[in-house]
Amino acid sequence: MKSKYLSAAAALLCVAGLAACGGKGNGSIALGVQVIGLDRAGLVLQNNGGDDLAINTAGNANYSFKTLMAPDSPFNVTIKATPANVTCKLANNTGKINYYTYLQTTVTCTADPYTLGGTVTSVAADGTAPEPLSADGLVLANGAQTLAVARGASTWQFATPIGNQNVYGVTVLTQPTGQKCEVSKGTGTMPAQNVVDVVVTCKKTQ
Amino acid sequence: MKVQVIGAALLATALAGCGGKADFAITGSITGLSNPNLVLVNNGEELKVASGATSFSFPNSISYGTEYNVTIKTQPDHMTCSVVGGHGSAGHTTTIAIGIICQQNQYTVGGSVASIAKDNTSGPLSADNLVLVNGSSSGQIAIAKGASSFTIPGTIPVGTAYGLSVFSQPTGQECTITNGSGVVGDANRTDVVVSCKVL
Repeated sequence: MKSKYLSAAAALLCVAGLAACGGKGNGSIALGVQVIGLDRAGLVLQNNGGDDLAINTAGNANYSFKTLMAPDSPFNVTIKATPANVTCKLANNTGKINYYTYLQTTVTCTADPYTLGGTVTSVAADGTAPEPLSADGLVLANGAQTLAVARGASTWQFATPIGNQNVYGVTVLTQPTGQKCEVSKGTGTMPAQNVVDVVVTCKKTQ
Repeated sequence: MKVQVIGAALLATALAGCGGKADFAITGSITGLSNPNLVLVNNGEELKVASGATSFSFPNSISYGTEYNVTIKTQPDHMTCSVVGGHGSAGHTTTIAIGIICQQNQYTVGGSVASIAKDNTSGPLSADNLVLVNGSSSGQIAIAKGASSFTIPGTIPVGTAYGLSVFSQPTGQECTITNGSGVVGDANRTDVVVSCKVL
């Protein structure tokens, strides 16, 4: 009889002990995460393999897991789902939770970058006889990004790739000597693949 | 060996703290200086600083207790520098360490926008949904119906290229841009012309 009570008490202690270990709830500290660079919905984080935290707001912000944790219990933040065409990286994502560590985890996301480019031709004043760029001095711009296109080129590509879902707009910053170039299909939103179809046509003016 | 070095350093610090040092060089660090013609001045003594410099030191030292007051006499080309901790008394700290922080000047880019009716009369933008882009640099630049001028959000450093194009045409109109590309100079740009023809 006595031993029955004892074992019941032991069982209770056991449960209390497990809870204190941060198995579930019973805590006082919310585990936070700093999210940086997120530009679309679809990020889902987990702590210790559960307690899903879905983040569907773009921008930089701090978020907290729902389940409160007991001081000193271990945390391990992982990524359960990443938005399409985005790469997210974790840092400082494991430790024991306390005043100093509850917001140490960062998730840095970047839209996967793709190249922006196209073709270039020089044509006669009447638009006939296309040939590769036959003059020096052409400089294209995509906003602050510039690209010098050499004589003889028939294709071109900006050096720095651009994150998908960003806008782009190619313009002529400097005309080549004796030719006047126009850009068509030069503006759009970066897809999740390289853009190769911007057309630069340079008409000979002399 | 290590202990000796630390000991020597401590001794030097202690001596300096007691005013053991007689002369103090007026020195400092520079961040971000990428253009020529910066001139610093301390109590009438000028110091020219070259583009790319990361530190400076006035040729003449000053003695313990002498006041120094380093200011900028001439800003470098296309930049604005500021001085941190430029004023003090020699010997107050073991060495004089002034900070100069420089940043490229930035200006806005914009211009005019007009709609041209079928009878060739020109007026403010008369349709919705016009969106411009400055490549991938400034996001979407929406221009509201009724506007006759616009400025792209934010500022652009001198020497940086820009190039505006039409991302979305206004409803029932087709816009073309002239003077839409260039490199930012030492002033705001207001000469971009967006002209929208009613179809």
